[in-house]
Amino acid sequence: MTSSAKSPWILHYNASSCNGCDIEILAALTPMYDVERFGIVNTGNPAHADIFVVTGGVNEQNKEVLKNLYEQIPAPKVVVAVGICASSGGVFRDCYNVSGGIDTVIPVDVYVPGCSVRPEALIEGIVKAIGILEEKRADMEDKK
Amino acid sequence: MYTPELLTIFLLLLVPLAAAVLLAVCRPHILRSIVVTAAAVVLIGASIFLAVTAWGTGISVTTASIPWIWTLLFIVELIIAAIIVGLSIKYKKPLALILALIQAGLLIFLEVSGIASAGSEITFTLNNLSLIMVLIIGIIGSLICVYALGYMKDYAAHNTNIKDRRCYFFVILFLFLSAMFGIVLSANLLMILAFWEVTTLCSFLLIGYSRTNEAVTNSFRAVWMNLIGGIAFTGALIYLALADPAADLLFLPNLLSYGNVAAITIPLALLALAGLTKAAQLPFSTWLTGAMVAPTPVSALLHSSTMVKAGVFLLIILAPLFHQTWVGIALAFVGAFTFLATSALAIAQSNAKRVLAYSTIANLGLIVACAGIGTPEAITAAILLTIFHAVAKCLLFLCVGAVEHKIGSRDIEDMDALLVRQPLLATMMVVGIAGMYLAPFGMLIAKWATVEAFLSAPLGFIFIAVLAFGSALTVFYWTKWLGKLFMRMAKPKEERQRLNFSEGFSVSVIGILTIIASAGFPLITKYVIAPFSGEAIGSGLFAIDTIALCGLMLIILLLLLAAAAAGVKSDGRIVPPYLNGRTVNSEGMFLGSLGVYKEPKTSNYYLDEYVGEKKLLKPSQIIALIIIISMFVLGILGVLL
Amino acid sequence: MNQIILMIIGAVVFLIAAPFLGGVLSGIDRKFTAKMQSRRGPPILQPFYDVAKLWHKEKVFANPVEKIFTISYLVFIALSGALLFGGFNILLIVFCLALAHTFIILAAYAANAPYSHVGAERELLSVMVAEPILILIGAGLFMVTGTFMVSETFFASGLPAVCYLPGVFVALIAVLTLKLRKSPFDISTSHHAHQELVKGVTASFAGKTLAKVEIAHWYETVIFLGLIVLFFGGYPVLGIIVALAAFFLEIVIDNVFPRVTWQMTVKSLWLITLILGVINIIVIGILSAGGML
Repeated sequence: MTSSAKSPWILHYNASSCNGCDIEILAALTPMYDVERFGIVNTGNPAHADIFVVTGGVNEQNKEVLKNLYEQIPAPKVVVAVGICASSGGVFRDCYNVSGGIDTVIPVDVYVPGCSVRPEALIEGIVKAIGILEEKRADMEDKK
Repeated sequence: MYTPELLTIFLLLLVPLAAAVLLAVCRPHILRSIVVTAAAVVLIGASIFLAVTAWGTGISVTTASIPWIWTLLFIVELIIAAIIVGLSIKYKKPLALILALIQAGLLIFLEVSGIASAGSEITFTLNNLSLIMVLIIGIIGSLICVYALGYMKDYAAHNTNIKDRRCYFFVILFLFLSAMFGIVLSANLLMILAFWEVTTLCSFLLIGYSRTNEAVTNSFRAVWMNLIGGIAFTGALIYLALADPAADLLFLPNLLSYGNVAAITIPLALLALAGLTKAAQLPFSTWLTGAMVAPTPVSALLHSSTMVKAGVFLLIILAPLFHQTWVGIALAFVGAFTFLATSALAIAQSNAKRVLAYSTIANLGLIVACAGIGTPEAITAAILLTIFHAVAKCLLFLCVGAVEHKIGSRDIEDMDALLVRQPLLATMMVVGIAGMYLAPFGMLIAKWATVEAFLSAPLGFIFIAVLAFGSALTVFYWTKWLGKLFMRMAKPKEERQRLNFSEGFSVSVIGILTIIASAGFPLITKYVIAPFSGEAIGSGLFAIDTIALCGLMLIILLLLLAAAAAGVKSDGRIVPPYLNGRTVNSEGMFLGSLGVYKEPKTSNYYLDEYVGEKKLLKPSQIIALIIIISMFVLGILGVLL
Repeated sequence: MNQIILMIIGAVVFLIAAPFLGGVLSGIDRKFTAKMQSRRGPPILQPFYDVAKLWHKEKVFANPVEKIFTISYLVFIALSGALLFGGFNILLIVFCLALAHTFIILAAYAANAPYSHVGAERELLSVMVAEPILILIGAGLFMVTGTFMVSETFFASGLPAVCYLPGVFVALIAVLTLKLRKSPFDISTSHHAHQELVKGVTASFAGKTLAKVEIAHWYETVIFLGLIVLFFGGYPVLGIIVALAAFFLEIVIDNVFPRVTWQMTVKSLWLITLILGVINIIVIGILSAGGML
C-alpha cells in the first residue's frame, strides 16, 4: 500500500439526491464507523480531494457543477456513485429533467447501490475506490 | 571667506528660487520640462556634493555677513501673513484670519522690540542630520518635481473642470524646496521660523490648487492648524529671547548646550507643539488627511517626505533637551498614542491616499516618540525612521498618483491584479509597501531600532506595549493592500496605458533607492547616524551576526523574486477559481442559477465597526489633547519648581 | 568559535528534526482528538501519509504565482525556526515569522477566489492578533535577561524567565490555540471536522503546494513549543515537559470550544495580551527601574 491508499480524502457532492444517502455518508464519519481511522477526511474542496463521492441522479441544473468539480480535482482521482440514483437514476431515471446516473456526465469507477446506501456498503465501496486510486497512481508514475 | 560648503548652500537656497522665477514666465510645456529637469540635476548634484564634502565634520558653522537679511526675512513673514489674511477675508474664514493676525502681531513685536538681536551674520549648521535631510530634499524632492511634469500633464487632461494653473503649481513647488533647505540648514531659530512659515504658505496654496469647495475648506483647515504651530513657535522665540538675553538662545548651538534646561521648559513645550502641528500629530491629524485633495506630487513632497518631516526634524534637533525634562516624556506619549490610534484608523480606509496619510501620521508619531525620549539610541531610531519613511512613502504616493490616472481610481479595492495591469507601477508599489513594514526592509529595521531604543529608555516599557499593538495594526493594513496587487485576473479591466517617461523614471529611481537604503542600513547607521546621535552601536540590531542574517534574508528574498520572474510559467494545469463548482468564464464571472454570468465580489476587511473614523477619531483627538495639555502643565511646573 | 559551531548545529538539527517532530505531534493530536470523541482515529503517522500523497498528485494551480509564495512561506518559516534553535536574536525571529506569514496570505490572495480571499483576510487577522505578544515576549525576555540572543536566554542561570513573566507566558499559551491552527473554527485549517470556509487560506492549494504548507505547519508547531521552552531557560527538561503539557492543553481547549468565532478570538486574545502581557511588562519595568531586579 502506498501513501495515496492511506490518505484518501473525499469530496462529497449531492447531485439532486433526496438526502438519504448523504445522511448515511455523514454517519460513516461518526464514532460508530469512524472512517478517519483509514485516513479518510471529508474535505469539501475539490483541490484537496482524491475520491469524488456523488449522490443523486443529476439533473439539468447541476450537470455543469458536477463536471466542473470533477475537473477541478487533481489526478489521480476516483469517482464513487453512491446510492441507486447516482448509479442509474433509480426511480427518477425517466424524469424529464434527470440525466439518469452520474455516469452520463462523468466517468464513474465504483457503483454503490442501495436506497439509501448502508454505511458498511459505503465503506466497502470506498475501499474498492482506494484500490482503483492506487492503480491510477501507478499508471501516472509509469507515464512519467 | 566663501568656502565650497557655503557656496553650495547658497546654490541650494537660490537655484530653486531662480527656477521658480523662470517657471513663472515659461509657459510652454517643453520649456518647463527643461527648467525643471535642469534645476533637479543641479539640486541633486549640489546636495550630494554638500553631503560628501561636509560629511563627518560634525557641527561646522559657516558665516557670511549680510546686514539686510533679517529685514528681508521679516518682510517675507509679513507678506505671508498678508496673503493668508487676504485669502481668509476672500473666503470668509474667521478662524484663519484671527490666527494670522495674532501671528503677525507676535512677529512685529519680536522685530520691533529688538529683543532678538541676531547680528548681521547668517549661520548654517552642517551636521549629519541636516545633511541627511538635505539629501532627502535634494534627491527625493527633485525627483518628485520631475515626476510632477508628467503627472500634471495627465492631471490637466483628466480634470478638465479644474483650471490648468501648472505654472503657478511649479513655482510654489520650487519655492517650497528652497524653504525646506532653509529649515534644515539654518542655525538660527529666527531663520527657521521664517522658512517654516513659507512652507505653511506653500502647503496652504497647493492644497487649495483645484479651488473646489473641498479643497478650499481643507486648505484653510491646514492653515489654521499650522498657524497654531507658527504662533507657538513665535511665542517660544519671544520667551527664549526674554529668558536669558545674554545667552542668545535663538542660536541653536547655544540653546542645545544651555545648562539650565529647567528654566526653558515652557518654550520647549511650545516648540514641541509647533513640531506636532507640522507633523500632523493627533489632535491635528485632520489637516493632513484633508490635504490629500491636493495633486499627488504635493502629497508626496510636502505631506509625506519633506514638509511634515520638518516638524519631526525640529523635535529631533531638540531631543537632547527633551531627554532631560518631563515635557519630553509627555511629547513621547503624544507621538506613541498617535502611532497607535492612526494605525488603527488606517485599517478602515480603502482610499489609498488616505491609508498613506494615516500611515504617515503614524510613523511620524513613532519618530516624535523617539525624539521625546531623546536618548542616543532613540535619536538613531528616529533618524532611521525618517530616512526610510521618506523614501518608501514617497515611492508609494508617486505610484498611487500614476495608478490613479491609469485605472481611474485611487481606491485599493480597484487595484486587483495591478501586477498584470500596470507591471512597473505595481512592482514599485510592492517595493514601497515591503519597504514600509516587512523584514528585512527599511522601516522594519527602523522599527526594530525603535524597540531597542525604547527598551533602554526610562518608562520605555510602556512605549514597547504601544509599539507592539501598533505594529500589529500596521501589518494588517499593509498586507491586505499588498494582497490585492497579486490577485490573478483572467482579463485586465482596461487597456494597458503607456506611462509617462518622467513618471516611470522617478518611480523607478526611488524604488531602487528604497532597496539600496534597506541594504545599506548598517553603513548608514555606523557612519552617518551614530556619530550624530552619539550611540555606541554594535549590539542587538547592529550586532554583526544580525546584520549578516538580515542580509541573508534580503538575498533569499531576491532569489525567490528572481525565481518568480523567471519561472512562474507553470508546468501544471490551471483551474478556474473555486466557486462551489459553478461554471466560470474567461472573464472570471460565474454562471448563476438563472443562466446569467455574474461577477463574484469579495472585499478586504475594513473593520469599520471597530476602527472607523466615526468611532475612533473624536476620542483619540480628545485623549491626545489631554496629553498635550499635561505637557504644558509639566512645562510650567518645570519652570516653577 | 565553538559557540558559532553550536549555533549552526542547533539550526541544522532543527531543519532536519522539526518536520518529523511536528508531523508526529500532529498525528498524536488527531489520535488524541479521536479518542476524546470515542473514535479510534487515524494512525500516528497519518500526517506523513497525507503529505506523501499530496506530493505525488497532479500539479494544479489557481494561479502559478502561488508556487513561489508557498515555497517562500516554507523557506522563511524554516529560517525562523533555524534562527530560534540556533539561538539568534529573538526579534529577528519574530519579524522573520511575520514575513513568512505574509507569503502564505499573498498565496491565498493570488488565487482571487472568494473562499481563498476570506481565508486570507482571516489568516491576516490571526497574524495581527499574535503579533503583539510575540514582540512582548522579545521585550520581556530582554528586560529579564538583558539580551535578545536566544542562546544566552536559554543557557541563563538563576530563576527561569517564566517566574518574572507569568503574564506574558499565559498570554502566549492563549495565543497558541490560534497559532496551532486549531481554533477558531472559521479560521482554522486543521483536519478536524469542525472547520469552515473549505479550509480558508489553503482553499485553492492542491497537491505539492498544499504539502509544502503542511510541512511549514509542522515547523511552526515546533517553533511555538520552542518559544515555550525558552521561558524555562536553564531548565530545559522542565521546559519540554511544560511545552508538551501546553500542547495537550490546546487539544483539550480545541475540543471543548469547537465553535469559537474569529471576532471572539480577536477580542479575547487581545484583551488577554493587554491585561496579562502588558501589565506584566509594566510591573517588570517598574521593578527593574527601582533596582529590584
